[in-house]
Amino acid sequence: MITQTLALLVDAYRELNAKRLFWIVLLLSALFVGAMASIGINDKGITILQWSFENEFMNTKTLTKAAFYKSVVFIPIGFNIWLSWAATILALISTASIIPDFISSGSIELALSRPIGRLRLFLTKYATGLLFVTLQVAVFSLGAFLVIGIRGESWEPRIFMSIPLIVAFFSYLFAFCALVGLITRSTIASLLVTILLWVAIFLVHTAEASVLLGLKERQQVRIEQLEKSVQVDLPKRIAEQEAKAVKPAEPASAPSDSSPEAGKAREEFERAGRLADRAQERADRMKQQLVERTKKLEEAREALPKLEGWHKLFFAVKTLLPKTSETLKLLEREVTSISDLQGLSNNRQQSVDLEEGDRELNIDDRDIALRVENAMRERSVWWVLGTSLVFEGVILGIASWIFVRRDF
Amino acid sequence: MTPNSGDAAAIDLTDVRKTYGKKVHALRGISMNVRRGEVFGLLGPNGAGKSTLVKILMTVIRPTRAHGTVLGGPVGDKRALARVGYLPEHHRFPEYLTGRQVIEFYGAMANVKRRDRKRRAAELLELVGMKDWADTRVKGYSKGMRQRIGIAQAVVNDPELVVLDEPTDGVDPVGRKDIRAILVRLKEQGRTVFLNSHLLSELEMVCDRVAILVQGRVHSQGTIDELTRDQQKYVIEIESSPAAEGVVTATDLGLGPLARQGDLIIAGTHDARAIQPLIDRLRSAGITIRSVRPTRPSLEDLFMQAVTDPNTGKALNPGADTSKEAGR
Repeated sequence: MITQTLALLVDAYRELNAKRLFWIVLLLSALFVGAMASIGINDKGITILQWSFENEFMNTKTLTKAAFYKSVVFIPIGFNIWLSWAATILALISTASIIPDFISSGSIELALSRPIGRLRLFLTKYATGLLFVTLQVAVFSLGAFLVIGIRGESWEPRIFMSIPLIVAFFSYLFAFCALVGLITRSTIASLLVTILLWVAIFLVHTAEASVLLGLKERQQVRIEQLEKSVQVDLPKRIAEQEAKAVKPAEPASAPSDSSPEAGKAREEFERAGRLADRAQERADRMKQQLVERTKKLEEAREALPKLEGWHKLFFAVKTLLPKTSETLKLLEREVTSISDLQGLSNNRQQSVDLEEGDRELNIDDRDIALRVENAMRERSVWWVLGTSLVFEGVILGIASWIFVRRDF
Repeated sequence: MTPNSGDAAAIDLTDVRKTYGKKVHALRGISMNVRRGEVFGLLGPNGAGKSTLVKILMTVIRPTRAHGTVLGGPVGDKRALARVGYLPEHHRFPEYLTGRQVIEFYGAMANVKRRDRKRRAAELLELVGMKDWADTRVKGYSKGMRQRIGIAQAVVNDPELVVLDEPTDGVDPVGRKDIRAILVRLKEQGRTVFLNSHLLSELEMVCDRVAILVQGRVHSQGTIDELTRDQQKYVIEIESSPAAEGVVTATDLGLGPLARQGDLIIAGTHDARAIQPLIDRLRSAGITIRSVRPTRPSLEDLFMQAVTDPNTGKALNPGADTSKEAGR
């Protein structure tokens, strides 16, 4: 049993070894790590090899070296863009042919005629398909570990969490790719349909996490702010203005009295009257604002359940699908703290237009971004990985059932 | 090779059926017996069900119904496959492997230990004449070289039964001769060889017994001698003589009607004693006999008889039968 599994594993390595794409991706990873190692940070700004570029926002006074390499270089660019997107697409291109080639006429007969059960044969072949990504991520993580350790002066073994996480992320897609490859026997079809699924998952994730969750949090902040304004701030300010709006008693001296004292008293009386009038005007405006905000509060309260309903619907759909983005975010959650992400949160939310009324309410976009970030981080690892692995299990179950029962 | 205890047949099949969907009856009740240590040939026209039958034996296709055994285990039992070697038709080995790696990989898949695999691979490369090409990738092999490596991987697990599907397909005459020699070696080593081939002359040369499949059924099976016994003849070649006509038309020789084709007189018997009176008569008539030889139909003749409708004289539809009654 071990002999057969090892043979399949060695064969998978030989297959990879014979593919140019495997070595090209590995070379690009090495170049990326080398390029990142050449970038540094000092008290004035960024350095690239011997050149220095002053930067008031990014220097060792605002960011530690370790945080620079982790939060600015490797996780957002290295893992979240290079490994999670570019290298994954290249990995899919490279591995999409594994199952169609395996079940092609003349090849499958050689495998099925051996003393190995079909289920074990299929699952082992599927597992060896993950070797491409495993080796790529392992090499990249080792490079990142060394650069963060040597250049960032922080030895971060948790960076190796990227190996199981990115392999898990890839395995969701590869399971689907294997199923489509098994059904259609076509490499192109399995690749295209898998990329379509990936895009669909991304759209559902964007709708749920970036749009609906953001809108829901914003609406909740608005309601809180409006409630505070309607129930506390405005009544208090109205009461203050109304207290100021009480006119003083008219001076006792006759209007014909032209003495300086009488004149001064009348001026004082008139000034106090004007102040009272202005206070009354302000109080009236505030009352008007109170009415408007009370109406806005009611509207916001009415709108919230609708938003929550849509969010729940998308969340339910997402629960059934593999969580590709969240799986990758687990590494960020593991390696970086929430404070490290403050800047990222700002950037993310800058694209959202503020409503005019929200400016008056002093709704801070950074607060909303942090609330969204916190809500995302509150989602358990088991929800993220567990439901994704259930999806993968179901897909693999269907594929295995087809493989076991099919006549080749 | 590890000899198997007991003397049961290598393959013993009863009523093997395969129906695709509800209409296409690829196999309609195959019963077949392959004895241990023999070279058994399976022949039939395209679509007769040969490959389907082989694939059922190799667990590549699941039968609709199958009773019988392969090396003592039930048909479909994976454990028995550890003692079986297989070369499929139109096989495709991974092109990134060398010939040696192909043999070792499929050896490992058959659970052969690493040390044994290495040793067997070296021996087999020598046996199939691929020693000098052992470490060249399959990608650069000719069709004949791939067939040789294919045969080597089929026996890397020291099998008791070797199933070869069109092993000489695309191989030149020299290569075919070499492969025939390998088959003889396999037989000499005590292995059972189950051969599926279109090349009837080759089957005739190496097979102890054959079965002819037509439309998903076994038309006939046995040794070539058994299958042709009723059709064996004696051919007597004579020098032209006017007296010959009188001998041929004689009715008192106890041979039944004789046929004449030019200088040949054909007697429809396989019994040497039965033609002695005819020889005596020819001599007494002063006719010179050049040769007397027994003949029998070739495998090709048998095959053509099997695939020809006796009523119409036309070739039978070679493919799987799709009629409702066909599966019965």
